[in-house]
Amino acid sequence: MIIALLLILPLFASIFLFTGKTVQQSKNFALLASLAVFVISLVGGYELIVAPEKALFSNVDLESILGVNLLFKIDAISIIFVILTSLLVPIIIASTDKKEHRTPHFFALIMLMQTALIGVFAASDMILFYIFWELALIPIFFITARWGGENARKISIKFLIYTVVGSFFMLIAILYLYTLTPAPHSFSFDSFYQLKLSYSQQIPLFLAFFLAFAIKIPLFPFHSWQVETYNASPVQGSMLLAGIMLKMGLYGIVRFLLPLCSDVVANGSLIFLPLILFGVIYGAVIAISQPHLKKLIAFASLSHVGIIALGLLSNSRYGIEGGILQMFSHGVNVVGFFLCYYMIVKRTKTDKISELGGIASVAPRFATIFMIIVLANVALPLTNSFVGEFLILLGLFTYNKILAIIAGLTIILVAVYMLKMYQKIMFGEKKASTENFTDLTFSEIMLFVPIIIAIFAVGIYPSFVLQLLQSVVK
Amino acid sequence: MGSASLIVLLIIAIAFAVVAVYIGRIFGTSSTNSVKGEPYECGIETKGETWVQFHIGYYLFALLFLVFDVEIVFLFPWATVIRELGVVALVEIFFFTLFLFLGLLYAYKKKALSWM
Amino acid sequence: MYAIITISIVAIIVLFFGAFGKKKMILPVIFVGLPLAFIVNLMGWNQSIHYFNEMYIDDNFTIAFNGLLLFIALLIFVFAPVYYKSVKRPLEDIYALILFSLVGGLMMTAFGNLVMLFLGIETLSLSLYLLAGSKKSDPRSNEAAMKYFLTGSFASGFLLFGIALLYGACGSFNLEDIKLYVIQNQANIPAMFSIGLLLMAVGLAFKVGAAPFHFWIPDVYEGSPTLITTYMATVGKVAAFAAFFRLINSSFGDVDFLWKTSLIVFAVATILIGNFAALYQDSVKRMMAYSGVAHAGYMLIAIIALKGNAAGVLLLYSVSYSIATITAFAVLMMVRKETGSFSIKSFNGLAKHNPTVAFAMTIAMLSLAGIPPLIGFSAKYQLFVSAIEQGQLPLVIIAIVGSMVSVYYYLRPVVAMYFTRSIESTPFEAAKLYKKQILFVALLLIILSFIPGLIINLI
Repeated sequence: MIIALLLILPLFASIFLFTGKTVQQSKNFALLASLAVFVISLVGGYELIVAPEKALFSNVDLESILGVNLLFKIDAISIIFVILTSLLVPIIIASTDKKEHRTPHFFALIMLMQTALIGVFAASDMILFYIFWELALIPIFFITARWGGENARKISIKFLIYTVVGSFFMLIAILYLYTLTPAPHSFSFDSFYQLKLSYSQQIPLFLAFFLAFAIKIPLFPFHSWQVETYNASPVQGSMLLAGIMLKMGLYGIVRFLLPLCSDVVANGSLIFLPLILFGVIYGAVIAISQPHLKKLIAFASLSHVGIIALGLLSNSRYGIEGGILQMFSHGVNVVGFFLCYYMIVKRTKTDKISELGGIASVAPRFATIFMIIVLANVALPLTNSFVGEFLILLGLFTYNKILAIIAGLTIILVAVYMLKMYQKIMFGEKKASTENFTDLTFSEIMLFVPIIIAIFAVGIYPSFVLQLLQSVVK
Repeated sequence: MGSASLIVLLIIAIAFAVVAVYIGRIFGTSSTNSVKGEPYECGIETKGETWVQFHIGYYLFALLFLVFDVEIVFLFPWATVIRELGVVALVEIFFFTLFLFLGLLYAYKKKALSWM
Repeated sequence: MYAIITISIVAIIVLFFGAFGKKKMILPVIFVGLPLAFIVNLMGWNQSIHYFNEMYIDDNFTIAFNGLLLFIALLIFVFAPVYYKSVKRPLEDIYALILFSLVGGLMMTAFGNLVMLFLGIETLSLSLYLLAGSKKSDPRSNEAAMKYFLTGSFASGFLLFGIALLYGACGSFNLEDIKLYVIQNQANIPAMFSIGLLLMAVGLAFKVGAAPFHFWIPDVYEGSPTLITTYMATVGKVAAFAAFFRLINSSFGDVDFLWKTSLIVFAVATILIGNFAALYQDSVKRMMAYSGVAHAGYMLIAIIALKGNAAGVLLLYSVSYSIATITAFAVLMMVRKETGSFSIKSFNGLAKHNPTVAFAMTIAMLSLAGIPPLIGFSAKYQLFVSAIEQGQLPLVIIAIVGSMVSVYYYLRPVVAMYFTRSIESTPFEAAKLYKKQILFVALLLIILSFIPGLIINLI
């Protein structure tokens, strides 16, 4: 029931919005619908906290009509991402400014995106998963290409082709797995988990899955679409991409790579972990020297998701738990970061760090909120990232000490570029563009409230999430 | 197996064509005279350009001839067995001629029969 | 069977209405006749009647495919009046020829005898040769007709030779008898038999436009009037594939070692050549021609898979391919009318002044590219699954690579429509009705996306 509501509500909202007339009405309607989805997802979360062993389950037998088995299952891992999605989408919708030239279609596409994302996290049938995975591409492609900045068209096509190519590898892997299931063949996750795959079967599977997810996340050599796309996208598109869509790839690692290719992950980690680690440092180092705030966020995000992937693939329980927790935290933090960026750009029309300065003296409320979000990104204790990164490093440490030490160094790099950026933007001399910087209005502060609550709630009391995970991570 | 015989078939086909041409050239007697250059069995020699365009009406007539040609081809065998097949055959040949007649009627309505 | 009779009579009536000057009656007759034939066709459901000493078999396979063919033809006739609006010449012969070729198509899905197969193919092809050249004033149309006629009759020669050799080996044209012969002589198949089968496969590959016998497709599709191209690309292809499938399925299923390798080679070549050649086309019409080639490759996979529910998969694929192709061509016809060109540039900025048309085109392109959740995806997915169940994983991987490539060129019109500004942005003055019709077909495509399971389990 909950699953059906979670999927049908945004879908119908999206269809309804495609026929919408005025922008303001559409925005309110989309906001209302997404808030309803959020409430429903919280109900689902509550049910799982009460009985973490169980999972929300929905199996509608329409295969003879649809040709696809409608098999949904939300367990503890899925619910985290469902809640993340339904928490962030209302914020993203609410952040849309009246002055921007949006149409009702914009909100329809966001709601469609939400349907697809929840579908990805809730699906328990491989083909269903694949359908939602691809469906999520279409709205973000149109959002980026239509409302994006310079060169958005070219960049969005590059992005689309990159990810479609990646997901075709996944399709091959899925079909290969399908042939391995005992007759009558099946696409359900459970039938895949029951397979006993030999090492030689796992290797091609691992490569195909890893390639698909590495492009989506993105991990180091496949990241070239990411920065460009973030930069060209409208800020809401960037939030959707960085906050939620990247988590699809990480979710894929948790769901498929770890259980299905466990031997390869155990044996081959030393080959690809250094590569990922290199990407983490690479992202951080480039972020230090970025003149543009948006690009800085993009590279910081590249570095952060790399750390998450390290944790997930570190082959230890702490690493995996920390990785999942950190996925949630990163989603919240990066959206908060983009919101701050958006507040600055809205007022100053520039995101060049050198043209900004002295904002703290005119906008104290903004300065406080921005500080909290920056510190959350730096992973200060009591913020959400601290728990996740700590667990990841702990997990990495039990696996390989040298890797853990190098990964630990990146925390310093993060602090360097984050604080440097904050100092340059918020303190110092006022520049021409920041002369008339007005402080946040009430409605703008309201945007940040859920994010800050999420930052501290997870940071201070992470065990309710970890308890959820413990039943699943084994 | 299959492809081997295909190749053999191909070789034989080519060889047959080539050999036939050259056998004629080697063993045949050849003579040249003025009669040989004339159009075969077609009366008098042509005068002037032979690549002249015919009136389109000729083609139409040739096509229409087909209607009756086909009719005759089918009517003869039908006539030999009509007694054994009985009424069914009679009805069927009626439809057959009806369709041919419709073809003729169409040609007539489209003025294909009138010589402009 | 009765559908064939109905369509023949309708065609003759159309011809005579034209000849007797009642031009206004032509389209109403067609729009009554085609649905009537559709209903008559459905009446034989689940009965499996054989006519004329098993010359013609009216089983569920026949009825499903004939229903599809009739429906496609109906859709094409829906777009015909606008397409031929400014054409002064009498149209009854064009309409009648379309209907006659449809009769050929209906026979091809239902044959129980190789003679009937040949008869059907020739009825279809002869009408199509004429239709390809029906724009008499346009040299490209004439060229298309000539090329089509020469290559097509060449292919018919192959097919006929193959039939003759098969007859020589088995002593019968009847599919059932050939099957019996195959079962009895499975161990030692004579060379004559295998060569005959191979030649028939080549002839049919010509007709469906599979590489390496696809070379006629781009020129013929591009040169023919667009409405006729649509007809060729949908009815012609679907009928040929139904015939191909019936031939292999009913007689040669037990000797798959004779044809499987060559068909796999055909399929791989078709998918790769079709998709990669389509990448370099600037004319959308030519691109659609190559896309037709590529899709022929995918449909060949259904024949290679053969066992299980391959017939249903082929039906699903035919439905998805033809409806999407009709939508694309309908948009193309409109764009061509307004801008005078088929080039991809003429799509620039279409979304701005014609949002519904752009939407329809987008749906069609995404479906052809196989992007979930549209029907094109379910068709490809079911196809791949049924092939994989027969152990054809490498073939499927190549097909997936082909799909990857295809995403790029199918997106080009979409990108042009939505994200490129046009130099002049006058809204198209095409009839409102025409736009609604296009939208209707696109919506049909979306609705069908929700019932692929029903279509597959039909036969």
